[in-house]
Amino acid sequence: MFIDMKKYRATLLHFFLLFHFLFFGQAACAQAENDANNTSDSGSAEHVIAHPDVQNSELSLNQLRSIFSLRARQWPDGTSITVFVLRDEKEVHRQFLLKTLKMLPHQLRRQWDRYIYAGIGQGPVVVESQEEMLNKVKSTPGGIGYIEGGVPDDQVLMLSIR
Amino acid sequence: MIRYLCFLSVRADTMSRRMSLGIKSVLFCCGLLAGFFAPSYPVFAADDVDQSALDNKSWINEINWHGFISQSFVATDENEFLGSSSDGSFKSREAALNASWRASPSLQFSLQGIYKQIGNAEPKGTRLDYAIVDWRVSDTFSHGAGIRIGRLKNPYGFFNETRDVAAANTSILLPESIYIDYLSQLFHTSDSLGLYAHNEMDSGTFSFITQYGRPILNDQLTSTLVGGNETNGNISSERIASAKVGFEHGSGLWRAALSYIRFDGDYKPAPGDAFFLQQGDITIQQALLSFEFNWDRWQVITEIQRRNTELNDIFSFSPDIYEKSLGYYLQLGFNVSPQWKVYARRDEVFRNMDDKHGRQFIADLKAINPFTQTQAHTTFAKDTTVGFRYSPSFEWSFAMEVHFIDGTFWLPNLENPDLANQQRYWNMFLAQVAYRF
Repeated sequence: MFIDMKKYRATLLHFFLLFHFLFFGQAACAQAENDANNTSDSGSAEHVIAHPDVQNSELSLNQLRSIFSLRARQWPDGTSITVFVLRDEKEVHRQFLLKTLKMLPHQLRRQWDRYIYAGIGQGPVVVESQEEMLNKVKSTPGGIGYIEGGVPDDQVLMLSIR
Repeated sequence: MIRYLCFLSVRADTMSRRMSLGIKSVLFCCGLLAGFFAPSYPVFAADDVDQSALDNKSWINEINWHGFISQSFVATDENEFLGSSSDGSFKSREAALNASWRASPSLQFSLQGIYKQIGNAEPKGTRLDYAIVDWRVSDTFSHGAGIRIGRLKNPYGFFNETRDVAAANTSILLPESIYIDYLSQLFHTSDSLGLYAHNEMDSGTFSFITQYGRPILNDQLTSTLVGGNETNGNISSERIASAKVGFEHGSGLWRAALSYIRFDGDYKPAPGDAFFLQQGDITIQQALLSFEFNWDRWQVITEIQRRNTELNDIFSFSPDIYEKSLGYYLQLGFNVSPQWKVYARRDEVFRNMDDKHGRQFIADLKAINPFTQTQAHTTFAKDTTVGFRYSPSFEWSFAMEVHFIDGTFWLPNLENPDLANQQRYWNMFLAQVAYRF
């Protein structure tokens, strides 16, 4: 592949790749986000739910990503954030990441792995079912999770995503 | 299982006691955490514990437990890698258990004990992998910053911090051009003080980490550092500094990082060492540019590294050593399904970027020692790898890969002491089973 490589060919190639993605990658990213937006219009969407005492009824996509990526650890009022998720293999989980969070599932998992196995954070709390998700979010101050199709009454706070 | 957990945590505790005096005080709080593992044992083990006692919001129940275990099989047609691989070797395995406890939203304690075997390399057995006090000074939706102290994983490239977690990696062996297994101990962790910060921007997240402290050395590593000459001497005032800046797109579509790490140490030979070894100093500097792009089911990862190695005054009748090494790889991955992934990689490394075929290196060596058995192909390695990984669940992961290699730069002399018999062209097969929780 790189036989008879001249002195700086590899370095140049990498800078070429970097700038290529910086300029053309942005367009590709925008395209991918559009695709994700279009698919989220159909079917029963996953709704973000939080403990009733949470003050924020609205979050931006970036804020939601920083919560589920486990970078933000507390709500603006100082309450700890506890993130609840279903197992990686569950389709509802994958659909929430792809359509609501608009993130690649394996990329989010990679970020979590770094927190869990390099000792610099904690992973999300994994629950087995949507019923358990609802119960845990309802009973944990600062809790946040998601549920398919929403919930009928005011047991939890339904967050809208800007 | 519980018994094994307990064994690991107790060992981790004794390890922390063995550590050097300076870091002892630093890790006092983490040591406390380790000490608490033992009393927590009956709570988990006793069958007759009242369920309501477990439901209590006790801090013991707030501890998060995670771990991983993996076993690899290695076979080579020529040369030995990770044990006696020409006959098939199982000497590549690891097991770890970690605990983390968040005392408050801004204060976290974490500890991990690891058992690890990389062929016949030191250190063998169980040891303390990390022990961290993490104080988050600032924490909002738009940015965060904090301080870490203890035994930390050094931030270097995309994979250093999680290199031991088999299921978190795509390939079984990380690209050896950059993440050399037989040198991993030097740059992997350090007893350090670290600062970190991140800033949320419209399109993604910008992050920064820097650390400074002491690397974890051993006798084998000291010998490797002084040009592979056996020595009972030691390295003093060893220190390691690292920094990494990175950007990741909000959706995870692409990320990039620039990392730098520097090792310094003063070497002093012991009586009885080879006559030509004398007091001197060693500096290794590495800079790494990393890039990853994800498109639909495709993934491209590339990293390029420059390494400068300086050995001053150490060899009595040869000039000081100054090597400018270059390594890089390009890896393509394709997700056939969420469970199945196939990948291919080209990985190249050169001991001296101005002497890619090692001709000058051998000429210089022969001028000093006409009978040297070191061969020119020890100065480079070009590795083509193809493989697949199957992950049926978060917990389980299975992988197989083959390597076609030209050159022996990262082939350890430790496993191949007969230098004249190291073969330039060699092939390797690996299989791995991994579990985590």
